[in-house]
Amino acid sequence: MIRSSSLSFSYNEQNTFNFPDIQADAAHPLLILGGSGVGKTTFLHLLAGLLRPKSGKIIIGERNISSMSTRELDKFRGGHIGLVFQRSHFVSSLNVRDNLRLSQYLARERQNPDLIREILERLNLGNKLDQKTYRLSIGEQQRVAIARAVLNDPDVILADEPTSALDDANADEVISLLEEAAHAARAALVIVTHDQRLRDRISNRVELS
Amino acid sequence: MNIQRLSWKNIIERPMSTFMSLLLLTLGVSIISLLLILNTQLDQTFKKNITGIDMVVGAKGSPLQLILASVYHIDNPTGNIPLKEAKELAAHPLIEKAIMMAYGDNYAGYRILGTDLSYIDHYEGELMMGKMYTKKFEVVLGAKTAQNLSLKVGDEFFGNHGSSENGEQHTENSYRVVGILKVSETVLDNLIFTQIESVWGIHEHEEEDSRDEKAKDEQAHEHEKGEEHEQDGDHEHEESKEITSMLLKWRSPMAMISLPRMINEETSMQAALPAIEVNRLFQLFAVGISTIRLIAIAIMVISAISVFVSLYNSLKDRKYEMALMRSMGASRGQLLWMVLFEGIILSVLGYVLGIGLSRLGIIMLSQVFVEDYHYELSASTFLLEEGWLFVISLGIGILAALIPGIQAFNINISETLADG
Repeated sequence: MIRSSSLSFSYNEQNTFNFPDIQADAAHPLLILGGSGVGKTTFLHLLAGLLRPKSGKIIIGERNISSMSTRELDKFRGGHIGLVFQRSHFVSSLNVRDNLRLSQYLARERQNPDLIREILERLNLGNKLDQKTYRLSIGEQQRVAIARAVLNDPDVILADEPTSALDDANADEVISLLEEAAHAARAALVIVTHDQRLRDRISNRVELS
Repeated sequence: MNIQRLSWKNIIERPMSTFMSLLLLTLGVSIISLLLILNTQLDQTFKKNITGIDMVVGAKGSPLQLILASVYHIDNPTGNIPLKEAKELAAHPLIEKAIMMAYGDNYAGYRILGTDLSYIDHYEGELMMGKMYTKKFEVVLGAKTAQNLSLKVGDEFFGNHGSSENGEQHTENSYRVVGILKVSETVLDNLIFTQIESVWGIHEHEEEDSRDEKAKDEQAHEHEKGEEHEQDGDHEHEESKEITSMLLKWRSPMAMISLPRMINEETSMQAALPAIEVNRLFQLFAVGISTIRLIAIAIMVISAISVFVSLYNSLKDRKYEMALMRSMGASRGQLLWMVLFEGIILSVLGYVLGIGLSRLGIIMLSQVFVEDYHYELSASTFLLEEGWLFVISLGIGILAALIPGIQAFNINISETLADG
């Protein structure tokens, strides 16, 4: 479960973003829509604890992340928040398996090769374990990113434009997979996008302007 | 998976720049280590072999050559000196000990040194088997001579004239091995010892021949000499006998003031002080050594820059990766450690490879030294200075990684991710 209230953020004096209150849980995924420049990514980074809000509260599970120290936040992110970005990035020196193991390591979770294999097989990537991530297609990369986001059993999955680089078929598949994965992990799913194709997929919507 | 493993993976992910950094580090470390070992071992050897020798007297010529020939047996003698003059000097009240040496021959490149047993005593040589020589043409072998020539007690051989093994062979008289010395790690190990009389004995005929040619008008006199040769050891014979050089120990330091000058000015001989000549030699080396050392230090500095550039560049490419790691729960400290550890891996690897390379170099140099000077270098020693070299290498690795590491530490996650 994730909840925010009276969140605001400013890069400088003139430019302050005020964000609507949101709420999402495993049964109710949330779509945050908006054109460019309205602070979509800023909103997502606030929700993920990558940025500090000027005011307001963010509750994930039972914890208020806006009052955590940097160290606590680093720790919390790894275990409770799964992130998916527009273009998937990985540690390029590692193969798919090791990227996922790194994710478990950084989240201070037990490194579990069986779980990694199982999740990748569910996402139809069972034969890509030993591949370097940059050898995968964009669709495959996005699926590995989803695998990484759900790997540590997060409370919330935050996705930043997960479909905008993909064609219709791939976009459709990625959204379905995200929903399935979030559902299986009982995680709240929040998608931030300008991609109008997703408008009909998720009923729970907030428009940023 | 952990941070150290990730550092390792990152390093092998960019093989070319890693190779470059390692190559430079390895070269720098190996040259410095090689210099340290050479310097230490040569210094030890040179200083060890002059202990107890205050002065060397031989034929006029280069004093350094006299020392190299008479003390270290690696150069040709400057010539011969009359036995009579040498004996007079040995009896001087300021002289405590005098060891006479005569040579001219070798066997398979190992010099045959005519001297009395006090020479072996001086270097504290002990017998491993057999006995010391007591008669003409009996020889005692240094440990390495015996080992390298596969000679044992009872074997006989003919010497070759001069110090080169291609010299004319003396087939009239053969030498017989009566004893072999223990390893002493001094010049004893690579020599063959016999009585001075043996050396004289071998060359009697030649001297006779050359004198025949030189002084045809002195035939009667010559004839007389010839007779004397047959009754060897004759007292009057000393008039014409010669030795190569003489090692001397003073009774008091006072001798240094008067004796060398007296010898150089008033006799046909020259006096050389080993301590001074060895210092002169090391000063000559020192110029070369400090030049090479400067080059090695320059290489080390360049290697540090190379490690820095390599990490700095890869960091620019990996900036997004690091922000991503932070978003996955990595702490700032973990990123700093990741970059520092990459520097540490490079410097430790470079050090290990460099020390290995220097040992390889020592083994190869040792072969050249053994061939030319019968002198072996040890590749198995580890110097304290090389421990310091490790600390310095490690310092270079950490220092070069520090700035990129701090950048990783201070990375702005949100900004970097938004730019990606």
